[in-house]
Amino acid sequence: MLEVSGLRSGYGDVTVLRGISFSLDHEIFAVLGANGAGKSTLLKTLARLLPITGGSLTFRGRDVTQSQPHRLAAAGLAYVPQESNVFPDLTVAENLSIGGLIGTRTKEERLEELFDLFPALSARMRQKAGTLSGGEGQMVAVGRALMQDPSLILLDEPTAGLSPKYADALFSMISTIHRDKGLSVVLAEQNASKTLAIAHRAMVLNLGEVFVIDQAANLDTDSLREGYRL
Amino acid sequence: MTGASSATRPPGSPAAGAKTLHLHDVHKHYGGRTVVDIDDLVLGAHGIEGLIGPNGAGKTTLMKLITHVVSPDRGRIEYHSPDGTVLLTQHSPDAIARMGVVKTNQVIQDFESLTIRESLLLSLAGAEQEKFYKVLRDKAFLRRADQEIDEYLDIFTFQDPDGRAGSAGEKKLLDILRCLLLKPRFLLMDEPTAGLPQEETDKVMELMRTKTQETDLSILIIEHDLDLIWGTCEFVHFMAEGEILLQGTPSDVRSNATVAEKYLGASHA
Repeated sequence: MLEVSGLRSGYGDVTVLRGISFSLDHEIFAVLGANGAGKSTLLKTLARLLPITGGSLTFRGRDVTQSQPHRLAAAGLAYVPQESNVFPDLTVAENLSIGGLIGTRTKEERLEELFDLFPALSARMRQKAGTLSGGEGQMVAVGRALMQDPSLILLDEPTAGLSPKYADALFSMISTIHRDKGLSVVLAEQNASKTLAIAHRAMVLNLGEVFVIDQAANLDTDSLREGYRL
Repeated sequence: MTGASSATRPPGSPAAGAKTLHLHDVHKHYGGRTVVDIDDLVLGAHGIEGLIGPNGAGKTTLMKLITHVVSPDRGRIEYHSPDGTVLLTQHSPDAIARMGVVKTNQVIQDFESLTIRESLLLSLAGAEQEKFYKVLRDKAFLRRADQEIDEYLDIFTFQDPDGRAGSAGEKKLLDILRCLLLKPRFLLMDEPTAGLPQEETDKVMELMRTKTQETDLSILIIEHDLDLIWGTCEFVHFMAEGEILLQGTPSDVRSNATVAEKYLGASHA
């Protein structure tokens, strides 16, 4: 699905990612690490929103190292940023419709599936996204990405700032979309415990480098503490 | 180690005449979300202190509340110094900086049109009590300023000190030096080493250690490089969900299960 080899990236002349390599199959792949580890930078780079200064990126067998973000989106990669991930002045329906601009299935068909996942959204369709609660806003952001009919979804700390109830619901939803819709998921999170509970494999980043990649079940407290420098 | 609720003052109380920040019942929320909720907190009792916590803990907001860039919903933030006690929430950010409580910027900010020397000179002039235009025409001041700026430029590596800061690292370093030239008495450093090469990071930290040992400067550092916090700070405050949950020496805080729980989640504490 995704091959990442020696990836280097950052902001201007500041290099944040220093040679990240991993491959992604049909799975939930967790990206863990403390503040500043490079999790968000990695996801932005995978979505081609940051320049790749070294290494290569292959998506579904195609080298996309130099591809434009919209080409990747059209090829089936959806990205949900941590912040500013909805259009606040647009309604929920309009936000979701933007995701639906990509793909061949009808919007109605996709919306119906989406409402199965997020029943609460059906009652909010005319509401401006900026007036939603944090949890509802995240549902719209993820929903907009799912409306793209992607094969891979990148989720950047989707539970940040959410109440435990909404966070648990989102983790459960991520498992569901992987299982039922067949999506591969790259899930960046700081909270390791809940993430590892739903992930198949995980990578711990430390200051822009891979500390460890392993099966989620194999990552014990000691290795996590070391990876987080705790 | 102390839990925050019982710790109005950390162990090793400040010596008479030291500068400390005292926060009482300080609360800040954005929308429906509480980002800072401090009962009682004393900062600055030790030379270099660290402020750590997971994303969204409220660390940067806490620093912005102290410098009054952000106003608290309620609460008192006092600056205690040999000159007396000042309620910071009654003063502007500029006035607070003139009192000596200065914050470096997490996100790079630069005077793009000024050379490195001009930018540093501006900070030195800002530390004077006189008006800028008078200070900048004072030849004795300019001689002193040149000497002082040269001392810093001898320590740190800029590609062209007479030109503009080029790289992000140079801009970050320039921001730190500008703050030091304001002659702070309490320096708040928000992720000072992000984007700095390791060699310059080491020099910055060495300089900070020297400053706190040789002068009366107090420093509070937010830093995502936890190795730097454990290795540099004498005392650490751990913050999560807007509250100070733990305080203690680096080794005490590092070994506490609450820290692992907040970073990693309950089952990996």
